[in-house]
Amino acid sequence: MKGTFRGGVLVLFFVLYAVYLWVGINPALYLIKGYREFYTDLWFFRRFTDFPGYPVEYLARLLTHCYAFPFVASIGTAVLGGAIYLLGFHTFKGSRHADWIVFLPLAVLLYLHTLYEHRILFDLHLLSLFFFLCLFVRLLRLLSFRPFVVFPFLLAVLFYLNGIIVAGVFVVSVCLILIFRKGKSVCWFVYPLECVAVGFVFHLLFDLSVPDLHQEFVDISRIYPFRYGPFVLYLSVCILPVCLHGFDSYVPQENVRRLLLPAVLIILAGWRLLTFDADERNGLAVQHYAINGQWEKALEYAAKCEYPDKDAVLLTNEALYHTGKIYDNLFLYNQSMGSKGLLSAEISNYSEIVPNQDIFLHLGALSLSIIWGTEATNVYGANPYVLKNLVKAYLAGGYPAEAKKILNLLSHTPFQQEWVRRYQPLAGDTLLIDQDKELSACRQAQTPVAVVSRQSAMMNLYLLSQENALNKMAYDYLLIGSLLDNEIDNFASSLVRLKEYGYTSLPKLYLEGLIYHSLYADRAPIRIREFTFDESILYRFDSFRKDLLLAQQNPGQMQEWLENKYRDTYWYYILFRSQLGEEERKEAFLRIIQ
Amino acid sequence: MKRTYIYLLCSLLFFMLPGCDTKKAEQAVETGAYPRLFPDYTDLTVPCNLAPLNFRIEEAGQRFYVRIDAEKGRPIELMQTAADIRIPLKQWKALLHENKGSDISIHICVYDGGWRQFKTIRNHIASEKINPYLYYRDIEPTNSLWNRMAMHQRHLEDFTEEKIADNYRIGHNCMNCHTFNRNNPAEMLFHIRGNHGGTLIYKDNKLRKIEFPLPAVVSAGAYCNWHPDGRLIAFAVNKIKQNYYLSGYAGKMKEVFDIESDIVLYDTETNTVLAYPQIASGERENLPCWSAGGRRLYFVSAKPYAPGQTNEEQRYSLMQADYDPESRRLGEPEVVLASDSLQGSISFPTVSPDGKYMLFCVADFGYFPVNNKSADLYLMNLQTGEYHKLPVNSDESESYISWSDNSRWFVFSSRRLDGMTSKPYICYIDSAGEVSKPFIIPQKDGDYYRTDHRNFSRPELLKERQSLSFGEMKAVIFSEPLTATYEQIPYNK
Repeated sequence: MKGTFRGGVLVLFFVLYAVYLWVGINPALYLIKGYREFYTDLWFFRRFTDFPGYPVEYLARLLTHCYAFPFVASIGTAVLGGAIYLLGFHTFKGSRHADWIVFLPLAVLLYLHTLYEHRILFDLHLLSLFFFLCLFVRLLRLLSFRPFVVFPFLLAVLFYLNGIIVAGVFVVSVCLILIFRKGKSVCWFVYPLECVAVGFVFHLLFDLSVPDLHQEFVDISRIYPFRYGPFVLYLSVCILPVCLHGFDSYVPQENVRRLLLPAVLIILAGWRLLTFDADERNGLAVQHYAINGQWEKALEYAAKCEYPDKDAVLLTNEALYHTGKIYDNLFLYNQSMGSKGLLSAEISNYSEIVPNQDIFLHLGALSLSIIWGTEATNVYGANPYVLKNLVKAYLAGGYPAEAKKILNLLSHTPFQQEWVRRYQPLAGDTLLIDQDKELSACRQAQTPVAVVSRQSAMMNLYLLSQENALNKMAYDYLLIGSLLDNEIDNFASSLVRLKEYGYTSLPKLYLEGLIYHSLYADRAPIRIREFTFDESILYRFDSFRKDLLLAQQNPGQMQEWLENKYRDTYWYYILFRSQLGEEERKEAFLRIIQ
Repeated sequence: MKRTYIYLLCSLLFFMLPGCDTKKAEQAVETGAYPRLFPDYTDLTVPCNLAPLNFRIEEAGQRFYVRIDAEKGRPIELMQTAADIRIPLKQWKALLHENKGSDISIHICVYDGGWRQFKTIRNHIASEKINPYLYYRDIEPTNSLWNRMAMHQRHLEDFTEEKIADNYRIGHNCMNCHTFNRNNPAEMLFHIRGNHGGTLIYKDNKLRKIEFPLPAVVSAGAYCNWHPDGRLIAFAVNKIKQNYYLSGYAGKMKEVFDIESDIVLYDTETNTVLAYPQIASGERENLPCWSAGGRRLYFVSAKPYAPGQTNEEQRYSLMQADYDPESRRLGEPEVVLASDSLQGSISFPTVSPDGKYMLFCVADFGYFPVNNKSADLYLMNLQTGEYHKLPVNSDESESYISWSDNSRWFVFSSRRLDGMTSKPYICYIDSAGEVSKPFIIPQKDGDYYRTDHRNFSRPELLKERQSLSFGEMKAVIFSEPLTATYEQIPYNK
């Protein structure tokens, strides 16, 4: 009954955890930050056999690709967690508190799962550790010959599969198990000698030395924002024998004992829910859906983001553009970065590379898209997001050989075959490219002459739109960027080309900008009557002026009211959300209320 | 036990069965066309010590028969269902060994409802060997960022490959410009960029790390070439700039040029950088290369950089200056080949070990041919001064050349396979300067190059295995560099 109850509680916990992963975390989002290059070829496999730690790294990379199927990944991760628990439990089965205390390292692991930099590598490390510890403890108990005979082999295998640090954790754990073990003498002094011998053999085989250990520490510490996360995980495994020994003398009452495990699980679950960063999840979801071309879905998550980072802002704006909502809804989303939220000019942050690669592609800056894509392969490996955009850029740019090569690469990754089948014919017949809506648009947006990129995104937009009157996206971005940065004169001077780009009606955003421009200039840059426009916007501006005056008298109460009523307007953005200095803001305010 | 033997026997028979079908392939219908192979290993001149030319048959079929034969020796026959052809190493070596100087024939039949026989492929086996090792840097195509790279040593007589140094294990630093003295693995150098920056020089069984005396020279050493005596090394020192294009410029994504560059000589015995004003002038001197005898220094030179220059103004001419090792005097540089006469820019002059020929790259501008589709290889006869464009070029970039020590083979980098990654191609050149069709170095998997997306950067032929271990390298990489002294050598005309 006791075992059934405990088993039931555990199964329930892991099932709920799988659901939480699937619905709450969404494992597909791990691929944004944690994608690891993987090919199904034998030569790729061979690369992961020549250094300690590489074999499990290979397996981790293969399993990472399953994150593309969130439901499967959630079940798999929960099963992995369950397996870790079971192995841990059986390692320390003789102890009174083994059933709940094994959750100590699991708690750390489950916390790491909430970080989107998480790598399944650490789950596998934990699994390996407990597997080998369990094996060692079994040998200690069951076999008649001294387990130190097999210890070096266990250590060598674990070392080769998982690397230096995991091997070290194993050694420490074994030592502590032996120290606190009751009963027969275990010739413990043999084990350190065996460790040295194994280390020496690995040094000879792989030229291992202290800098390699240091490098492993450094690389592991760079994965998570909480740098010591992995080390806390490993430490939590090491101290299990100590904890069990410490708790051994505590014999709780039966009813208390039965509730210990559920209590731990409830605390764990509560802690997970409290520490979860929904904003980060939403920001990554924006990237995930935008990169996959699901613009509406991206906007859905963008609306939930309170403090999006730059990548999310870049892709939110791109989604707004592709859905045609940028003119009406731009300011419903965070635009605090100004024109930097539209496009980058230089690689200042690795996480911006992939969003910008996508944006350059649609802006017709195909060379730059390819260059950034190439840099992205250095940072992220051959990530399918990156490779797909490279295929598109190469196809649209007229480089079929390169496109074929990338398609070959994609066909050798798991789960991209359908996409490859769709684009492969285009690499063989470039006339088909013009029939593809997206690619033909990218192709048409190219400049007919070579244009060297500048260190200013706005200048690049200007050059792109200057050289090609078909590049509407560059033109719109130029206008919008000018508005976001309060470069109202630049906005006005670019507006004169509206008709060239096929505009017959003035979008809301441009009309609002034009109205704002009229506060500074005597003459309008365009004849407004040559375009159709929504006249209610003019009345709304009058209303805004009056409400602004009212709000000035009662700022505390009116601020929120103003925001609810006008936050989608350019004027509200300029006064309250833009990066204008204090003096400029005052001037803008005065001009508006005049 | 008895059952086990029966199973074993059946298995043996099963695997032998395909061999029994070779007779059926002989009744094949002739197609009159060559088979499509990947890589293209047809009409070649092959070194007599090269690893098997494994390939993939690109014809549709369920079964594939390949027979490789020659005048002497046992033919190699393969009958299989897989299109990936792996030629047995021992049999291949034996066939090559017995047929040096003559041809081998490759007969291919494909079964696709019936046997089809393709035209026989004939490749010539040269008597001359190629240097058995190829040393290169394995790196992702990149422009400014780097992550993982490694230096590899591939044995060209089989498929073994060693990873000599992995930058992951030295703090992800960049390793570049590995250079050997005349294919000699015992004299080598390479640079480290990043936290543990410096130049590592391996000579006389010692590895040491030096750094250039900045700001006396323009930059740390970059492109370099060993003097034949092994004492001097000519280095280019450059301030490099890159411009990226928004849209492509004649198929180029970017342009690389120097704002400033000079050539200096480094004395390995005295740890001294020797600056000669003739090659450290206002012009942009770059890419030094010693003659075979070491009495002449070749390099490229362009006029000084000025903002607003067009690409066509960034053209390099081929120069030479006489050098006297005894007195350490360098003569006045003279133009060997002006960029105007080619309407192009010259880069990577590389002299054959016998001193007879020079190979160089010509592109429409600049000195960075690896990224330039217009880059082609040219050959100059150093005795007559005549030069011509080689017929081995493609529509993609050809660059970086390494000669074999017998001057009969050279390896160069080419992006002809996919337009984006540099791969090493082997080419034969006879004493009259006639070249054969280049071919890509063979891999164990015929399909390897379909998905390999990394560059074989700076392929260098070595006459022996480089035995310097990574352990020895690491210790020096992490050490403090020794700063070279600087000496200005006055120029007396």
